[in-house]
Formats: sequence, structure tokens, C-alpha cells
Amino acid sequence: MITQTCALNDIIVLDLTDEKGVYTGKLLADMGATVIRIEPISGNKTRSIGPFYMDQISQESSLYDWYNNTSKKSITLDISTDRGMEILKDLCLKADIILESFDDDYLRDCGLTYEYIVEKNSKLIWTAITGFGRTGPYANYKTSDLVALSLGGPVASCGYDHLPGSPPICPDGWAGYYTGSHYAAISTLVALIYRDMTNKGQFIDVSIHEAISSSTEAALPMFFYQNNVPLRQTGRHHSIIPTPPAIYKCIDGGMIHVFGTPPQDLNRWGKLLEWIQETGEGSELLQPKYEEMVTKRNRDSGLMFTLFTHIGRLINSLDSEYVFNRAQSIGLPWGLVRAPEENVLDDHFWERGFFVNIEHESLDKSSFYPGAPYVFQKTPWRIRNSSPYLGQDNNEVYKEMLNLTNMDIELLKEKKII
Amino acid sequence: MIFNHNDIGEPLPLSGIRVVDLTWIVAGPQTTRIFADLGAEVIKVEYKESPDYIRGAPPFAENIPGENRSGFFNNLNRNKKSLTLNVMHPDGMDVLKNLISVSDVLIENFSSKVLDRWGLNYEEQKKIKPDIIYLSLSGFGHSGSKQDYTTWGPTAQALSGLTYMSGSPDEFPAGWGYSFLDHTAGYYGAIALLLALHHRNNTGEGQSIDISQVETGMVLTGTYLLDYFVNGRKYRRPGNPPGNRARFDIVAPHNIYRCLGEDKWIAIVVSNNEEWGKFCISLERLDLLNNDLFTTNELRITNQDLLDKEISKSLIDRNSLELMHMLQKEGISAGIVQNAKDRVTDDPQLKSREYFQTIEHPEIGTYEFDGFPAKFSDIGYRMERSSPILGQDSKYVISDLLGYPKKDIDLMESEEVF
Repeated sequence: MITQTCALNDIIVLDLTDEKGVYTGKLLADMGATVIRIEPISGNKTRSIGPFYMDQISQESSLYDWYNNTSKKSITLDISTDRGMEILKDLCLKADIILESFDDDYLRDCGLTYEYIVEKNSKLIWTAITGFGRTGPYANYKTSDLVALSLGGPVASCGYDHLPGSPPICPDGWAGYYTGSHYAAISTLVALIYRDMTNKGQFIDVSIHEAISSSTEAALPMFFYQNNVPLRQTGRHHSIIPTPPAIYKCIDGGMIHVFGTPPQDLNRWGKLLEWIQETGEGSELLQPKYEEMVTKRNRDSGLMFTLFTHIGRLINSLDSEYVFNRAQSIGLPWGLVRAPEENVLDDHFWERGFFVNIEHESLDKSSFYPGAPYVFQKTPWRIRNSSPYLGQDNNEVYKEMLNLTNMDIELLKEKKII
Repeated sequence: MIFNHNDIGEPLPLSGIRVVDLTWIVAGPQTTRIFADLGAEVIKVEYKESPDYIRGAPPFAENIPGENRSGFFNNLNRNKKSLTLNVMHPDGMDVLKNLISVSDVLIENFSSKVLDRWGLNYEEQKKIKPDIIYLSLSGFGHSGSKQDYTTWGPTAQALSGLTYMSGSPDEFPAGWGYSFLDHTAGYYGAIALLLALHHRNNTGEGQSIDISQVETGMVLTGTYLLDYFVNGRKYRRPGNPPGNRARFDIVAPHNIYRCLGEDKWIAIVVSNNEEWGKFCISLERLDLLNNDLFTTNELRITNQDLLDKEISKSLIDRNSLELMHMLQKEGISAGIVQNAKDRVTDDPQLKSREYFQTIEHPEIGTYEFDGFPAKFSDIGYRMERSSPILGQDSKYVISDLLGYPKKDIDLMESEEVF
């Protein structure tokens, strides 16, 4: 049996993506693949996206770029020149996977097509990540995270019903592009599994629009089955029929999101009622019709609003950490509404080793990073290096992969090809 | 390796992979939906007395509840098989163990101690099938002080920071209007299993994988966590979340504007001065182009309130769809806010890529489904069989697959083992 501690240590990836697909390469790199970013001499656009380290705007200080490019290498290459394109083609012969997110025609205009590559390296997996896919009337439409989440469906479900006329809300944080990258990673890995069996690569056309459209839960079934379109509601599930508020403020200013309530069994229901009655309220909830919310899954709107009025009052009168821990202790899956950084104060994630300390060689500094989305027993997720500075690995990659000499490399630099 | 094929003759890449699927609700079934679509034999194990909760979740076909009538369930569980099993009966546990012995993957999304209680933790699974790949998907993972806490999509979103990151500045959280994180946790499940399969292809060894749903949300907040770690800046601060305006990459205009008609909106992102010029000319607003307050991106950001007010005036009486096409022809990222109905009935892009397909269900008839969000040159996915009737494949599994003799099966049937 061969011993390996990285799931992808046999895989070389060329990463030409911009912000649309940059996270895909991180997913592969943190699992052991050699992922080489190929950047224009002026740097990938992701380097200009903030926030920045110490608020100093530079190519090397984008925290967005830092986060999404861990464990990768970086080389520069002007693929719009003939020599640059030749070099890219040579790299494609040595690679297993190419990730790119260019507009449909760009690589073809530069002289690179899948038809060309497949003849020279039939094992190559080429994953194209675009806003709408490579075919269809929107193939050349320009996306953005805001536009992708709007067209794909999530935005229509997010917003405020207590503020009539207010616009739907697009969640902050690149969730649309991340969803595209998740499907790009899934598709690429599926092609890799197929290649394991057949030795054949292939071309993959990932549509961010479709990836998001497949991530809207019951919205599509509600239309398919009942011709209904749910209405967005403040801080909770979209719904055909209005449902009670789900997020409640506590006396310390914290907030609790109530879900999975009423619970699915009488044991937990009883404990919830006990808790409510400690406040001297809620005796009406003892009526059998409320118990039927559990036993018969009756979701009568009036009963639900009454129950949630009591739950709301209970939460309003208590401290948020207490509510969270007590609810969980009786099996209610309620959660605190946290800002991202508030998880840093939760020992649980440190106990699991979620936050990892990463050295930034170029800055002579280390910092903590959010860590593994999965804990593998044999092939652990690991950040092997901080995001590379622009062209950091030119010498290593061009020498080792293409056998170029120091002089070749100097010449390419002079001609501004790398 | 012989592959199964879909109805247009494309090979299904996960042919030959058998998955014991102990998951329910949404996150786990999302992982196994991807596997089933791509050709794996997914055997969904349910307990008759308490089947998958989503079987009881609306929307129902013709609005008639029933354990085989949920459209939500049908959508999530297409292409899977159903085995009902009472694992508390020794014969039921025997069937489950025999099924594990001929399977590649076991996946569950129970809270963290359930499989221990069944005597089926990873160590025990390995005794039955040495190279088994075991994936657990739980709220907080299988280690750390909160490992017994449970989440559903919305409360995991609240805890991870995603809920807080969605909303207008200084307003209540708008959050996500559905369980976005159930999809996301499901995607990480699929990525993890594919990575583990590739590792098994290379080395012959299986392994266990532990996913925390909250952590799959936290990795989406990575850039903001880094901003906290290296700059000490909290996301919870005045002005956050940014509503529909850009937090990063900061450009303006970047917003969602009301258009003509009931709940009609358009998202627009103008990235640079060239696009700004085209935008103003398209809207016949040369006054904005010539206004000194808006001549650079920095100025447009500074004067964004006025800018958005002026733009809104020009859009409020316009047809959102026509506007989108007009702006996209100028190379500007614009997209209407589409609900499920818009996507299904009016989206020419999704239509042209045949994203929506139909499958006939034996009890409720033919309905539409969303497809797989990528197209492959050499492999395909299937839309072959609707979600299984509860217990539909029990006899296939116990008799054909596991080879139990008829007398044992009759006995098990009489004791309601399946």
C-alpha cells in the first residue's frame, strides 16, 4: 500500500481564474494539489480587491487575495503574446487540470482551444467557470456577485417584510461566486474520478447562474408543484403564508435565531413549555391543540404566532449565551446571530483546530486563518503556504516544468513575457 | 470499468460507486443527490415509523400531503433508491452491516453520537469494510465542546456569520430567506467524498471525514475573518452590512433598483469610467455623465446616496428585462431579480441549456427538476428516476443485492424489519 498524506499530491493545476473561480483552486491546493496561478504581468484582478493589510493598498496586501490563494504558487505570463501562448501550451502538456474563467472568446483569440489541447494531452481536465456557461443567449453577458445572486434566485428570497416597499437584499460576501466555485470543484473532481478509471480528461463548462439556481432550496419546488412564489420575510424563511418572526433580541443586545420549533417530539416540547412557564406565562400553550403542532405537524398560523410570541418574550428577557446554551441543552437547534469575528471567541472552534496559524514569509509575520471545511482522517486539509506574491515561483516553475535556463528566464523577463 | 449510461448515451462517471445513505432533511441529501445524479447507486435508508422529515414538508403534489407526495423531497432525492429498515431489530442491523460490506461510502447527518450508540462508528465500519469512506455531516462536528449541539440550515447560518452579513446598514438582519447553508454543507460533503475516492483510487485506503455545517459557513466569511485577525477590524460596525452596495471590490453604482411593475428589480454594477460613460448614455442621462460629483469611481462612492437617487429616477418607469439586455449589450453587468417563476418560465439562458428537465413519478406524475449546473464533454448526468416511494427498493437490496434467502426475508417482513 502506498502512503500518502495529501489527497491530490499527484495533481498539477494551472489556475487562470479571476474572482469568479479563484476559490476553486484554493479548494484543490489546500488538499495537496500543486496549483500554479498564471497571472498577467500586472497581476490578477483579485489582488485589487479589499480589504487590505494595514489598509495599505498594494498588489501584495489584498486580504481577499490572501484568503483565496492559500497553498498556491504564482507565475507571471503574458498569454496575449505569441511566445507567452507557446509557454502556456507547453505548461498544459505537463498539467492535469486547467481552471479558467475568461469570457468565452478570449483564450481562443489568444490561440488556445480545447480541441488543440486534447490532441496533445488527452488526460487534461479543462474547467471553464463563467457567469452563464459557454452556450446560450447570455453566454457573453457580464456577471458580478450581485447580478449572479439576483438572476439565480437567492435575492428574491432575502429582504424585509416589515419594511414595505424595501428592496430585496443581496447577502454580502461573494456567496454567488463561492457557489459557482463549489460546483466547479465538484465537477472537476468528478472528471478526475472518471480519469482515474479511463485515463481520459475532458472539457467542463460550469455556469455560475445554474450553480446558484440549484441552491435555492424549496423555491423551485414551490413553483413546480403549486405554481406559488414565496414572499421574502425579515430574517427568516421565505414563505407562501406569513410566518412568525424567527430572530429575537436578548437583554444583552445579542440575538437568537429560533428554528426547528416546535420540535419533532413531545419530550423536547415538554422541556420548552417548562422553560416558558418559568417566566409565569404560557399556560395557554398547555391546551391539546398546541400539542398537535408536534404530534400532527399542524402549522396553523394562529397557533404558531401565539407560540412564537411567548418564545419571543422569553428570549427578550434573558442573556443571549444563556438562551443559546439552554436551548441546545434541551435539544432545540437555536443559534446565536453572530458576526463572523465572534466565532473567534468560541473555544469550540479552537478545540477543533479550525483556526490555523500561517506564516507570511514576504511580510515576516504570521496570522490566524479560518481553516478546514472538512476534517480528513488520512489526508488532512492543510494550508501549505500563504498566498504567493506576484511571480514568486517563476524560476522554480519555468525551470522544473519546462527546463528553461536562467538565461531563458531573464530573456523572457526582458521581453516582458513573464 | 464498465459505465452505466444516461438516456442520451453519455457515461455516468460514478457508476459502480455504492453509497449507504443514512442522511435526511436537506444537507446530507444534497450531497447524495449529486452522487446519484452522476451515476452512484445511492441507497437511502429510512425507518418506516419516522421517515425522512422532508417527506412531510410542503409543497405537496396537488396540495395533498402524503409520504410520497412532497415536491421538496422529490427534488432532493431523485435517482436514489429507498430501503426501509428497523436497525433496532437485530436482523435490521444485520442487513445494514451486510449492505456496508458491499458499499464504498457511508454518509450520515445525525447528531454526533448516534452511530456510536448503534455500535457503528468508523472503527466498527472498518471491520466490516476495510476501505469504507465514512462521512459525517453534523452541526458542530464530532470534536470540541459543542459537538452535541445541533443546527438546521438557518441556525448554522446565524452562527457562522452569514445571517448577520445580509441586510441594510443599521437595520435588523435580513439573513438568508432559506437554508442556503444546507446546500453549501452538502457541496462540501460531495467535494470531500470525491477527494476521498481519488485517494482510495491511488492507495486503496478509505478514511473518515468529519464536516461541521457551521464551519462550512465560516469558510465563506474567510476574508472578513482575516480582516479581524490582521487588522483587528470587526465586521460588526456601523454601516455594515452594506445592503446592496459593494463592500469590496468597491465600485459605484452597485445596487438593486426598482423598475416598472409589481416587485420588479434590477441589479446593476458599473465597474469603471468607461462603463459609467456607456451607462449614462444608455439611460440618456448625460447630465450625470457631466456632473462633477460623479466623474470618478471614488467620487461616485462618496456621493452614492445622490447617485442612487438619480439612477432610481431613470429606472422606475422602465421594463427591467429590456433594461438588462440593453445594459448587457453595452458590456455592463446587469441582471433582474428573478424569482422561481421567472427562472422556470422566462429565462432564455436556462431554457437554451436545457437546465430544467422532467421525470415521471409513479404516484404523483411528471414534474420538473433543476439539472446539474455544468456540462461535460465526455460524461453526463441522469434524470432517470424520481424520488423513491418509501421502501420501494427494500426487496431489491435485501434479496438481489445481499442475497438473503426467501424464508429469511419472509420472516423479516413479518417482524417489520423492513
